[in-house]
Amino acid sequence: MTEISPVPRESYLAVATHDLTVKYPDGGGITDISLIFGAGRTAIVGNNGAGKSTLLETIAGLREPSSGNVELFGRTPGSWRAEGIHQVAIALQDGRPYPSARPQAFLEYLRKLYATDQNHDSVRDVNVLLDAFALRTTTMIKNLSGGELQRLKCAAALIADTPILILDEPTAGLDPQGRRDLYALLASVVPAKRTTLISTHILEDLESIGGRVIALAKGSVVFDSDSNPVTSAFHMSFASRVNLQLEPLRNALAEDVTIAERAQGRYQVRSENPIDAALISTVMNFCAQIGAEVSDVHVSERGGVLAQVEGLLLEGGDS
Amino acid sequence: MISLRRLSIQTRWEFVLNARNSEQALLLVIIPILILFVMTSTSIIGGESTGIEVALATVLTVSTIAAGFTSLAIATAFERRSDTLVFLGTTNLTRMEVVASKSLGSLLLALFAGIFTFIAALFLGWTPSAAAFSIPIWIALGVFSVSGFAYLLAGTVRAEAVLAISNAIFVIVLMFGGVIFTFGSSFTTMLEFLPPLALKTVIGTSISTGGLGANVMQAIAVLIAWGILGHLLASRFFKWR
Repeated sequence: MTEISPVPRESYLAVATHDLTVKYPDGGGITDISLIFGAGRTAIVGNNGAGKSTLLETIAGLREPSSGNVELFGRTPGSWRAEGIHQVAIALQDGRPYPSARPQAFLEYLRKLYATDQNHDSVRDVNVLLDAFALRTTTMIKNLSGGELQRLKCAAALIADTPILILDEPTAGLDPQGRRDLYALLASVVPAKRTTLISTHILEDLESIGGRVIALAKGSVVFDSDSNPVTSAFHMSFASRVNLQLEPLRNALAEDVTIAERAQGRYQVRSENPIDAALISTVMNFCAQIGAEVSDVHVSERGGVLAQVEGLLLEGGDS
Repeated sequence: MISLRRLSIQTRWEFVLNARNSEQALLLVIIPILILFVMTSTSIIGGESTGIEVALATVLTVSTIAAGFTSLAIATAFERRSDTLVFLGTTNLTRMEVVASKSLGSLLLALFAGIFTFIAALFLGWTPSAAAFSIPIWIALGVFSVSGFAYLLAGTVRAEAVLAISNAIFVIVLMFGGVIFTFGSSFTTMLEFLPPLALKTVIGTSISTGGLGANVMQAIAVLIAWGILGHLLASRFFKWR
């Protein structure tokens, strides 16, 4: 028999969560998440509050599950930590560690700290990281710009060559160009086979991240490109100055067609089938009947994962 | 599990960062030395100027509490606010190493302050006795007796409040803890069961005569008891973020 997966079994089980639930007193958190992560890159996408940080921080052992569990190579994060074995490095979304330190001294301190660990075959060269992440600055961490801070946190997570790497919203607060640049940089310094989880709330980032895609909404997995069939979707978007009541319009449309307000006064129709004249006229007639002036109409086909996830997140945010 | 190598790297890193802070220099070196000069050269306290030995015990007690309580509480509270503590949870340090490195760092600060104070005392004509070489041990015990409460405060209250509360407690300890001013016998008997006066008793004895009399043994027991209580409370109520 031939081996189906090119990935060795032990690395396929780098991360496993079983019915993982984390509850907070004020609501939110994640519910019954069962996922397996092997070698390679995964993007975790979801709106703010979908549970991305909770999931990633629990995998990293920073939060305790309310029920279910996390296993890294078959053992809980806490049991690795108790032995001082560093399996997972995570760049957190929030915080500004050691505000009065300077980037170079901070990274050199971390390099020394990680070099004490027998588990690491190698520790990254601080100078290489300083150059790659453009951090040759004498500015204190408290005065770094948003982009510099994100790069520093990524570099700090990369210094130890842990088997598992997690980056929680590494591009938060960056403009589109800054986001593309950071993802290109990460792709060039992080080996493609390393188990890497990257979260984002921006759909467009999925193309830059590449790899497997998992979408979260309200604390649950709503899409996983490893197990869900990938389909194309067709979109029509338009603007209306009058606020549309979407429920009657939904009733007039076919089952597989959804409509949602993407932004103030900006609507999007999504269909599994090509948007044809009949569908367009149904929408236009509906608007005409209630006297809504429609402008800026676009029809497009969005292929694959991006369109699918977009539809799911829109539904999640709409209900 | 504690790795001594990780512990020493972490302690050194935080010690250097904290020592650069100018408030620390004020709290740990300038204020204690000022108290030393004022106590020995003026007669505002108790009618006549205080002997160098009593003044030295007072100043070492003050700087130990400043390092082991006030400065530790403030540093830890701001590390909690900037999510530095959560960040440390992402490194290969165990929680035990994170806490131990902070306590060790504040002990180092107290010992450094002690060295400056000794030098100032030598200039003022003090000749150290053999028993005075046990003082570092008592400073360490003093840091242990109050550092649990520093963590308790830093881990439960927001940083700005910690700044205000820990400084207020510091001033109250100086004024009414039996460290600088002495009080009537019944109030003093009560104060002997609190860390400040207990620490001053232990340090004062080793500066003058040495020996472990009943009052010194009681003071050591008081310091150990408060230390255990503070650390137990802190481990129960400390919030990492």
